[in-house]
Amino acid sequence: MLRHSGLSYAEVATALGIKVGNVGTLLRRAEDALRKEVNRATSE
Amino acid sequence: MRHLSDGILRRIYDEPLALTATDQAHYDTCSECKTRFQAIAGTARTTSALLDLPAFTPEPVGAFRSLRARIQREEAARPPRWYERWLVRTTPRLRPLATPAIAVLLAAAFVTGIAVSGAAASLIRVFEPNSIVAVQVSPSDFAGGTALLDYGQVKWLPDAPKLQPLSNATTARSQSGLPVLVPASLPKGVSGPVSFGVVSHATGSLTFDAERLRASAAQKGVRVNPMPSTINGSTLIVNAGPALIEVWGLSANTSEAQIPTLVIAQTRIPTVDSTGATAAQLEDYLLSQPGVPPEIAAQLRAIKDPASTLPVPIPQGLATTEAVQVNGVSGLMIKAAIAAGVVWEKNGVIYAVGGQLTPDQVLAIATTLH
Repeated sequence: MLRHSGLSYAEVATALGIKVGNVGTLLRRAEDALRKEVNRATSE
Repeated sequence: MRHLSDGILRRIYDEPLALTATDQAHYDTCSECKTRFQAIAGTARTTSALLDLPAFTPEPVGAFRSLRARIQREEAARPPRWYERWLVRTTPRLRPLATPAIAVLLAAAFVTGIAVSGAAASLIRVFEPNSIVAVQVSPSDFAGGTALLDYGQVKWLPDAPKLQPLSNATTARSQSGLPVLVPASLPKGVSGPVSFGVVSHATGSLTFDAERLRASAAQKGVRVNPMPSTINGSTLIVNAGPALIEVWGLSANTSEAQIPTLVIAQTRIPTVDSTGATAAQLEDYLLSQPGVPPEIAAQLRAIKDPASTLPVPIPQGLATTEAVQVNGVSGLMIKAAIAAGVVWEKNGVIYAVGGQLTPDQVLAIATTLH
């Protein structure tokens, strides 16, 4: 949500209290989880 | 060297210039990382498309608070779902974000009608450019009316892309999701203030309809080749934008001619997927239409891999082109009498720099953008 609101990786890192290098990892995992969940929901 | 992590590849999509020199060198030569990047970028594009709800403006701080409170209430009322158990095991910090985002995604899928799973499995990627080629055109090439024919039903989700003028760099970055690029120095004759324009991300579709094309051609009195059954009924899904444009040299007085001295533009590479027709079938049919100038058709047919090549129209007799190296990749330099421009693609983003400048000045700006 933070990234898709237009915040940069540095700003997302500050907001969540994590390292900049971890933002991409969290974002990737979140999007992958969302994709799987939407796939599951739309295939039911 | 070890392959780049998913996190680094994901960051390339959002912040293409943030790679370290070592990571960039690995990425440039690693086909496995590039393939993984395509998958990660595809998921990011899908997420962006689903979040582009009409009249939906994310308000992160308020949303974060209210959703955290909602999750706490829901957690007390029901056992955790599978993805929450997974997130707890792997990334506890992400947990507050998961449920609301999924709710938004499901709502978006419902509103837009995008069937993510079934359609995605059968889509054919027919266009995703990673190289650029010049195509010579003349104004008379487009005098015919074939291009204006109705080939089928067009839809945009949520809306057709439109340019939004902005005067603020922060807003431009926020609305485009792309970094505002600045050259190390501006050449003589180029000065501020800078104007910004953002074209939002949009997903569009065209469903080919042989009967509509036939009726449209008859109405306009134009002859067209009948649409083959391999194309009729196929849908092309276009993913375009966002794009960010920075312009120097526009006068505040709108009654004067507006000729910018420098333009820096960037956009995520557009993609086109097909539900049936292949790239070769589409090329064969569309380029064989009577209204397509033979010279342009010949140039486009000569492109070895049309699915991954972006044709850039160059006005014949007014400009010339040559291949140049820009930031470690091949680019296309366009030279005209009093202006020049360079276009290149890197890490999933197409960049263009141009203006009332010499080719050397354009290249100096392009290579120092940060």
